[in-house]
Amino acid sequence: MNQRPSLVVGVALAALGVLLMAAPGLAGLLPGNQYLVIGVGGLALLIGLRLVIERKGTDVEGAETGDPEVRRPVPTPGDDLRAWLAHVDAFGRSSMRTRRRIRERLRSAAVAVVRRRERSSLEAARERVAAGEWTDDPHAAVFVGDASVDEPPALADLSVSLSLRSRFGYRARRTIAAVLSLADAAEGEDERPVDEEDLAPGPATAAPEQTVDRETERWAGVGALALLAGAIGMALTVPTVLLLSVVGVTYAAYARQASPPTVALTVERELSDPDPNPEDEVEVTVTVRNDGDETLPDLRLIDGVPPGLAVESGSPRLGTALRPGRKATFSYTVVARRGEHEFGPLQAVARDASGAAEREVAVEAPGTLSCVPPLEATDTVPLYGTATRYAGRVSTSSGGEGVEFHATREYRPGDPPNRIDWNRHARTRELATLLFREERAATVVLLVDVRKQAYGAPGPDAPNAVERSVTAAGQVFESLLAGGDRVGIASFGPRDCWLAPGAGSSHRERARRLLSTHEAFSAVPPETEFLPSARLADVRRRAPIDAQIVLLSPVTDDYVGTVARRLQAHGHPVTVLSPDVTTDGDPARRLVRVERRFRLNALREYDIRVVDWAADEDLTVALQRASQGWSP
Amino acid sequence: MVAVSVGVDRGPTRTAVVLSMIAAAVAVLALVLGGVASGVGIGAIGAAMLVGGAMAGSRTVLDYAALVSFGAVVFSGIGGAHPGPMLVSLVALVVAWDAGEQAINVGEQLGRDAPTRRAETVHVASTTIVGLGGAAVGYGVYRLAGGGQPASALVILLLGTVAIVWALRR
Repeated sequence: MNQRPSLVVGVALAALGVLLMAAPGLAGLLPGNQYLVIGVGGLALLIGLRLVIERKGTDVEGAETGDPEVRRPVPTPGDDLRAWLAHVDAFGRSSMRTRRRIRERLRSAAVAVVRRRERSSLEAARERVAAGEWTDDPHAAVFVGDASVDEPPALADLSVSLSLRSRFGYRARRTIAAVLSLADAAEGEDERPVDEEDLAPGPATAAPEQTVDRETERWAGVGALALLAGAIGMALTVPTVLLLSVVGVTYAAYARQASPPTVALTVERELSDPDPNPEDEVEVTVTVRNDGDETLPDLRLIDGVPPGLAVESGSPRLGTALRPGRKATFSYTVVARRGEHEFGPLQAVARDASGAAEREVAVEAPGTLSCVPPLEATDTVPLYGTATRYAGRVSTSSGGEGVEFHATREYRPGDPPNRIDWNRHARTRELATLLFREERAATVVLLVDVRKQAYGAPGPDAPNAVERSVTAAGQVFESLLAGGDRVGIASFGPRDCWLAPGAGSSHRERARRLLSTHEAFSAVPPETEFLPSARLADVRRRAPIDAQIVLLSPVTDDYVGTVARRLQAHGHPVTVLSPDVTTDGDPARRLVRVERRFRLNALREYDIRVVDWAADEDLTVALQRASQGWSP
Repeated sequence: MVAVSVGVDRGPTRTAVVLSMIAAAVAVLALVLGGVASGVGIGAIGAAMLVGGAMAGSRTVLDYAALVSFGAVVFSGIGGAHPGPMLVSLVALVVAWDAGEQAINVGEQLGRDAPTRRAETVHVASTTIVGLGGAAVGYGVYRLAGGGQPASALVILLLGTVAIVWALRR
């Protein structure tokens, strides 16, 4: 709509009004009608009130900014179940699919706990659960039982009938509580009280567009001040009040003339140490120069801190005014973590002086912080007694050269004289050859679970499962390599990484680089989907036929078990090294913890070795503890 | 270990809140100079609301506070206060309102822990200068026009204002 004519008429009328005030004699020529006064005053009042009401309905707009200070959050195991329960609470009957998922999930948890407790077969446990005989709680029994289970009497629990929550949600929670109490009894642990916590939705991160202009509407309705003052001033014939309308007009014009400023910035980012060690503090200094020829009176900058890093002190943000050619600087410190961390673009939000118009720009400012820690070794890593033809430290059950006595056998021509059992020869005149346990090298592939599901952490600041797996992989790699074994590295997830088993210092250096900087081992979860069975086939195709597999995974879902079992079935002895990232606390999280424990037990039943690595435990301790229960 | 798990404090920024307080105080002071007791009373309530809205980060409270303060200025004007202080008071209350909103939006985008003083002071200074400039021009014309206030002149002046405001509406 073209508003120019209206503006011209308005200015002309106002000028005429001022003229008439200055020369009252002229005013007599015009009709000074009472109705005109009421009419114009009423019009001003109406429009003024309308502007006030419009202001009430207007939302002040502005660019949204993320929280680059904090690391991108990964869920705590159990959060999905919690979210489903919250969804059921919120939408009641509408979410059939969610309800089916909850029910199936809890049913399998109940079957697992019954199996474990009563040491029965899968079928027997299923029948017990279906018949509702596994628990004393009628609600839990009905929830996961089949149609034959009787409903508890309607008045049995008045609080359900009176509660606002759905019966489904109530029963789901009762079932979780029943499963947990059985599991605790099975593990010989104290029963803890069950508390219910509501779900806090996670923050969403929105990627900024390249350039976005918007009107902030923050001055919307300021013209009402002019019209209301004018209407009242005229109605009561108080020129002072009429004069006040000049302020409203001024600000309305001020807001109207606003246009988004031109943003031309150069950004330089300096790191106090681009190659730090883990846990080092790195100071990041950002310098921004205004290359345009306009002053930017209100410039807001948010640096693109890599999602895998957290800001320790200072702020990666700045609000300033910048004249052409001038520079502004701000700095903050981040704590280095393993990996290659790319800085994102700097988000710049520039407003004009009135703040009515805003332009949001993403300024590219490449930069990388790469933190490649040295590999630390653990104590010896226990391996299966299968081995390669290379000499090494795995004691095998085949006799030959070595240290430890294995057996004797009849002398065959060609046996080395130093292995002939001369004592026996002296006694019996028979020639026999001593055999020693051969010590040979093993071939090992460290397979790190980096699927999206593997990214879980017990809390926002705790390292996630993949970070811990990668740390453990580095330690195991180093100690195996030092023992003469041939070690390779592979990722299991959408981002593919493969390092064939090898030995030597250059191999070791390659592994160190890969574990630190390969995107597969990033601390930030992958976004892409992948075909797990195809990736499993890749692993089998690439791994040498005699390779043992060490699978590093939090085991917070069922698929990992399948991977371990299939690899084992194809002749690769499998050891599962599992960092524990589950937590206590609310029922959903505890259920996940119990489920994981069952999963690990199930793996042990398949003769897969399992190392359960608790959150605050040293890896060496976990390995020793686990290996005590293993057969050689 | 790392203490930032709470995220970013996105409350209103301090500098602009302080500037808003100063402007609100000036608005009340100008009303006192106007000498209309009831105007001063309403103005004090409005100013308190302005400051409260800015500190609490509520745009709704700020808007209502601005209306109340505006009413106080109009009331004083009707009560016969001198136009000079009334113009100053109105500009000061708009500045207080604007600074309060600035505190909120800078807080939303940058948070309280970021260095933002320069962006806030430049913005508030700019609003003050524009408002005082407009008021000065208006006051000058008012003095030049002087004495007589025939009803027809006021009508035409108001009609002009309506047209201008309508045109400036975004």
